[in-house]
Amino acid sequence: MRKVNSLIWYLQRFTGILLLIGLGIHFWVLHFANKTGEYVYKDVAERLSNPLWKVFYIVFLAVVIYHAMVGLRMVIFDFRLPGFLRRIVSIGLLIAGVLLFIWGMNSLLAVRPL
Amino acid sequence: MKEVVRKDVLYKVVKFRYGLNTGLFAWILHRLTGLALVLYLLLHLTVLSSLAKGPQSFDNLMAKMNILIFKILEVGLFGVFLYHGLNGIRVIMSDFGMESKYQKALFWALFAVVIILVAIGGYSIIKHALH
Repeated sequence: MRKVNSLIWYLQRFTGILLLIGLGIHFWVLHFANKTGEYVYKDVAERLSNPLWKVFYIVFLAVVIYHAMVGLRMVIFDFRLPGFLRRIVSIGLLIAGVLLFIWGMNSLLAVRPL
Repeated sequence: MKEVVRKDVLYKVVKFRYGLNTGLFAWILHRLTGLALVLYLLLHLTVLSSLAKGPQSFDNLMAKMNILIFKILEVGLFGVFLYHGLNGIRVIMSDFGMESKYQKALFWALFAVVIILVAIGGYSIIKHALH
């Protein structure tokens, strides 16, 4: 378990750095390079028709959900919980993370070119 | 990995009663911005689920959100993300023992960078709703 926790700890740092870069790109494209300030389906479809953007968003989704769920786990574990509750929290967050990823992928893969 | 003394919430609360220092302030803000970002992630996924309902559904929802109040919230989100991200880098540096001497200065420097970037980026986000 110690090795798993250590891996989770390192991955939280690594995903944090990836997110700073990924969210920077996401903000740049949607807010700063966006000349009209509007968000329309056509633009999303155009971007996602490029396989590189699609891969970027799939990886981004996985990374952001991992970082969020592990972050929540850290906040909850700040309150001293007994071992069995810690396990319940970990399993619950793992299930929540998988469900959020499926939900996000469902939206992402539903986009079709116009 | 550096050996760290586990500091739970009770420790932080007791410490808080004896004064709010920079490290504690940074820690509280990192936790609060993290929770805000998780909440935003859920809202974002909810909004994006309209993509699966087709172009009309997504465009209608986005048109409703293209107003000043949502743009102001986006600027707030930008600030929250910047603080959490930059302070996260400071935490990583600290975890690997890289900045113990300049911790305080580094924190206030990143705080200043966040304010400057929010001011510059904020205008860029809000300007469309103003004209």
